[in-house]
Amino acid sequence: MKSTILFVVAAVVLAFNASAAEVIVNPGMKISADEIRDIYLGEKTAADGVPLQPLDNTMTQEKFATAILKLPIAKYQVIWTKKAFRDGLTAPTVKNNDAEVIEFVKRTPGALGYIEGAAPSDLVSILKF
Amino acid sequence: MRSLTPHAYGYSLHLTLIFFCAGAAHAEYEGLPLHGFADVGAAQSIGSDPSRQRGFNVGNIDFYLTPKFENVRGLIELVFEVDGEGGLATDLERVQIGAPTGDRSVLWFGRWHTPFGRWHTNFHHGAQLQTAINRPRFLDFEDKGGMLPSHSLGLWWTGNQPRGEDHINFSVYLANGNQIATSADEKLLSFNAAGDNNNGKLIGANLAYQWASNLEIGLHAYRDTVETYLNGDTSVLVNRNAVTMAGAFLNYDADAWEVMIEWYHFANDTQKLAVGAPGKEGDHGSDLWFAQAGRRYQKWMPYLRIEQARLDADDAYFNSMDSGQPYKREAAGLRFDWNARTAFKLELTRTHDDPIDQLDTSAGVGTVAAGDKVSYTRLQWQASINF
Repeated sequence: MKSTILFVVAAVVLAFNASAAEVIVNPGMKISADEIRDIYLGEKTAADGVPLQPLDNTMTQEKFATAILKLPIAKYQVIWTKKAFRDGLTAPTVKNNDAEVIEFVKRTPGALGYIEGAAPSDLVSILKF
Repeated sequence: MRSLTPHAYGYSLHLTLIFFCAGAAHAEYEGLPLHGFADVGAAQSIGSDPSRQRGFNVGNIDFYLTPKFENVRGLIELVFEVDGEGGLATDLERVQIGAPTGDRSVLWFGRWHTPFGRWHTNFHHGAQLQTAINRPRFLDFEDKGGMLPSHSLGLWWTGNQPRGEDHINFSVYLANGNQIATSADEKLLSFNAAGDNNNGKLIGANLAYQWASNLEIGLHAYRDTVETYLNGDTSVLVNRNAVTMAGAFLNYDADAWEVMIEWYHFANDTQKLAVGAPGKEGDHGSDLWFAQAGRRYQKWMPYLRIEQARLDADDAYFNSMDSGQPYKREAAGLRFDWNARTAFKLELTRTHDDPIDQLDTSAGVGTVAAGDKVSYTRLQWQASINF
């Protein structure tokens, strides 16, 4: 009985960790979790003068759009069409997977992105979702 | 809009090449972002429509570039369209260079669309972006029947400040003032693209509160000194108008509903400086407004709009322009989003023109007496894309 309970608890913990995603930022950046939505919608374009470069991740975009942006992806894309046309802004670059996001965020000041799973030890995670 | 000349074509091509080369030199930005809009359609007038529309037409092809160089950003918009005579006309709509003034604000230099209300700066020439086929008539571009200074050349500071999940959005601008440019057969508001004609500048502001629910309510205002010369002769000043606009707007764009309401009140002071022109000296009040609502049902969006320009007939700012005519219009339409980048629209408009006496510049300074009131209907169809 005890082993069954332990098995169930372990399965639940593993399932939770497997579904958690994180927002990672380039080291040295000073942004807070509650600014992420504004960054991804083009309302905040720099942090202490450093131009922000948010990334989208094809693998996790739907989850991020639902949990953080609270928008369907189609609406998010329309917002960026308007932002580009009105404000001369460029939509977040789309990366294909976690590895591409991590590689870009590591080397680019002002970069931030989201990945499925835990952040590498040399990158800062500012939000789990 | 000017017709395309070899010089203009060469200039626009040169501009394009400059930015392609600049984009290639900054590989981390992955090339030069070039986007655009295009639309085609058909129209049929029913009744005494002065534009007598019939058959198929080509709307705009609108190219815009958004180059970015570290903190500095640019926006260039070039529009091609077919004019009333079937010729190809081109216009460099916007050329803006923006320098950041903070994490959430930018100072634009150059030529931009004047930031009054929300319709104008939300949609520009992007037919696929706006729900309806037609803009409110008084908000149309100067050469299309608009009564407001759609384009400006100068400085524009804009940005936002967060308030929790809400925002305060602001714009402040200073630009060349406008004049009413007349010739023997047209009288248009001109934003003085090659330099101001007097020391009066266009000064304006726009301030709004936007809730997280996407409801935005704001105030807007501008002031200008607008002079009318006879057929480009600066020695013949027909009138001088101290133009003051103040108004309010509401913009709501959520999943199901889109609502836009804008009101523009003009309190103008006319100085008549030539004998024979219409209008009276002194203060004049006019109101222009529209209200549009649309409801999304998955890919379908029916919408309704009413708009009105109630103009003081003695206000020389309005009666000196071809477009300065009081009117009321109702529109009903249906939009279908074939996909995220393609929209088909059908729109029925009913317009009621209530003409006033107008400035006549065909043979010196004179007055054309107001014609009869006229009402007409127009049915239009449009296919539009963005790329």
